[in-house]
Amino acid sequence: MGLFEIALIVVCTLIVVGVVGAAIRRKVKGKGSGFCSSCYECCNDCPFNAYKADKKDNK
Amino acid sequence: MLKFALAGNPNSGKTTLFNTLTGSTTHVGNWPGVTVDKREGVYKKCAKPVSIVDLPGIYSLSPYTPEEVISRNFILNEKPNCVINIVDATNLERNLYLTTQLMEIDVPVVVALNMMDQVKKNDEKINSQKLEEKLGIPVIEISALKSKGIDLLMKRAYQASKSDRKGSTIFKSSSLGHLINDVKIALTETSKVSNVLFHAIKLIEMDPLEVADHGDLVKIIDKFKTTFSDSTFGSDFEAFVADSRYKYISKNFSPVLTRPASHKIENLTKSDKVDRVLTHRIWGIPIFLVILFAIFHLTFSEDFLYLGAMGVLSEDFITLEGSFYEGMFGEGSIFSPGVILFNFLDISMTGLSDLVASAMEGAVADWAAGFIVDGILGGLFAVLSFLPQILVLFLFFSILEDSGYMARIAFILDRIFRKFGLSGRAFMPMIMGFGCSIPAMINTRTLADDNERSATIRVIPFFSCGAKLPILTAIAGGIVMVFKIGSAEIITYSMYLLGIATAIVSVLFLRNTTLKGEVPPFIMELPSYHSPQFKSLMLHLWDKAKHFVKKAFTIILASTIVIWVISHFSWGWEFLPNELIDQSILAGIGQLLRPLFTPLGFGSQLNSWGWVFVVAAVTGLIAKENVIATFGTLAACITAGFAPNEALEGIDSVVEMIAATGITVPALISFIAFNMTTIPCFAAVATAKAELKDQKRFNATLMFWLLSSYIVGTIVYVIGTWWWSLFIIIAITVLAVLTIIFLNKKEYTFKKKKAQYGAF
Repeated sequence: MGLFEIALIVVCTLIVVGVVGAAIRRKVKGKGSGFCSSCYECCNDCPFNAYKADKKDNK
Repeated sequence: MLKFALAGNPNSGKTTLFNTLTGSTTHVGNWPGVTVDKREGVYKKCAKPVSIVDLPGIYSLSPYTPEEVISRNFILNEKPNCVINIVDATNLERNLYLTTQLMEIDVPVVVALNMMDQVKKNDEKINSQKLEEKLGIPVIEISALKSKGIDLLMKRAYQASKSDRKGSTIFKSSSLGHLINDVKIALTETSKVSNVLFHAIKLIEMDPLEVADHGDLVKIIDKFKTTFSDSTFGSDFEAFVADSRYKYISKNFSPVLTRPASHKIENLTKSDKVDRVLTHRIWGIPIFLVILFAIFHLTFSEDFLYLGAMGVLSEDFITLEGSFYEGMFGEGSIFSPGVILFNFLDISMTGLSDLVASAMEGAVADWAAGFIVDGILGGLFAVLSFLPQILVLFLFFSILEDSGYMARIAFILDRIFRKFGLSGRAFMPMIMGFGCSIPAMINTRTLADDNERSATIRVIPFFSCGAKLPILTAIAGGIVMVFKIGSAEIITYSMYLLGIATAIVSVLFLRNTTLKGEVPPFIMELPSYHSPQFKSLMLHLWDKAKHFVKKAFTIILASTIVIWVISHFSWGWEFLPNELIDQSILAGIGQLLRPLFTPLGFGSQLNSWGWVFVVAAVTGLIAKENVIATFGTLAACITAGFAPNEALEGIDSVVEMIAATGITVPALISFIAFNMTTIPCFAAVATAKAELKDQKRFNATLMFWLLSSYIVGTIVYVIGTWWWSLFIIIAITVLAVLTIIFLNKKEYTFKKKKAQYGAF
């Protein structure tokens, strides 16, 4: 197995772990990024607690 | 940090002002009730940063609706430094009703006279200076949509926030003034309460929240009231106070508005004239269906305006044979804008896949090349290629929404839904479901009745969201390409209507069985029609595109990796080449579940590759885009005589799947119907759980989704395969409806008798 293949396996593992981990983090800790439902209806009762973490300021 | 609250009537422009102030891109809709919860953002152009809270739209501070409770509690309990009261200047009298209530609270209030551009357009004039003198609080003219007057508004609000304002009332010198003073004294003597004036007036009105908090004072207040009599309202003080407010507003504030001499109250506005056609009792629904079809035609049709079918164009018209753009704009017909954009992205992505495939050939291991090209690119591009059509469709939906027509759709469909047990108020979240089920489910908070709310949450996923569009488009395209029947836009349009019909039948069933309840009256203010704002439309589309791409490169990417891995490894954890993936873990799972889907037409009756449809439906439970991503990932592997390392996108992957599995048209339609009505994505399920709160109701909702999708899919497949079964299904449906009516009638008679004769 060459370097490219090893790098491919590592990167893909990180992607899967990252996405699943972010989802769990949101659910358990109620913050973090990566798994917001992005429903554009940001409110204080965001089911993913994404709102408080991602809310925007003006320029 | 200073905190300013934005309060005002529904559809007065609070969210638009909030977005302008905070730089947010929160969804703005030209209908009442877009905001159901408070939102926060920061305004940094004052001397100090100011936290801006966007409150839901309310008509009063009485607890008639959940939005009114949220807004009232926020202002009274969280004590913002200033309340910016957005007043729709085109509806001055009605909006000032809330202003007179806000003034009674011990908080600085600033009135933002919004939509002044519209007032000027109507040749009307408002003397804001005179209004300011009469109200005794700052009044600033603004246009939130055009960002005019915003800096001055914030400057005045900032100045006002430094003052220690005490509540004032318009009843000071009226007959009610003495009564209010008596209640104020009683309140201050018995308890230490802030905002005495507001609470005193609310106690006189016998506001349920106040009565619950100050129950001990009710008897004393009733005694005070005996000294006060009114011939019209008698002891109904709530109605008396409301009437007095309107009379005062009409007498003292309305003169600040000057209308042109030609203006007559009975004159119809432009909006009224348009509404005479669009909301017509008979023509309203057919017009809605035609508009919806036109949108689907512009998005999905391969024969724009049916010019090809009419023989207007020659066979080789704009085929651009031999060029890179061959077949992009049309073949014997002109493609619709949605299809042209789709073709452009599809051609670009195929080019990119080929480039990657040729770069990897011989340079990396075969499995790695297959994994990247077939697995990752195939899965990702299968989904991403539909982005243009999704954007075109949502551009039209946004135009309908911004123009004010969406609110009319709720009004038109209220008549139908009311007969089946839901009010038009429940229909607003359903319309939002066309975009995404999550905000739609959150929006059901405006429904007071728990049973109506649960029924609405259950049928929201039947209103096909953007994520389901790739399934619809790819399979509709596949049917047209392989079987040469129908057209993509008619199939897609019909599936949307099937979703609405399923929702109606489900509501009828739920509201007459497990989720019974009265249908509350539906009163909704129809906003004026206005031209959609370019900026607002672009923001909607940007949000949609951002969300779609973000989802593709997170959840969908991770899913395609997992799908490829478990489709290329056996249960013994041995690597399998493409030709042997039917021995993989994924195939094993698919084969296990396959018999379950036989009644729906994509189970055991398909040949050995039939499990692909089953696993695609299962992966769709994570995110609906995964259905097509799964086809994209596996298509190249199962295609007989496939060219190695060639990713198959979107419709192509479905075409290959049809060829490989031998699936029929009814089974394909059943597959779409199943995916449209089954358990939605993880995110929507989590929202349903949060919104329903009750675990039992949530479990019942999951079961409902599973059962309804299974039944709808089966019905579609059975009727499509054996047309005569339609009569059997109609007979069973009629029997079921009659049984429900009979049982309900029996129950009603029993209750009536019980009420008549008391307990047995």
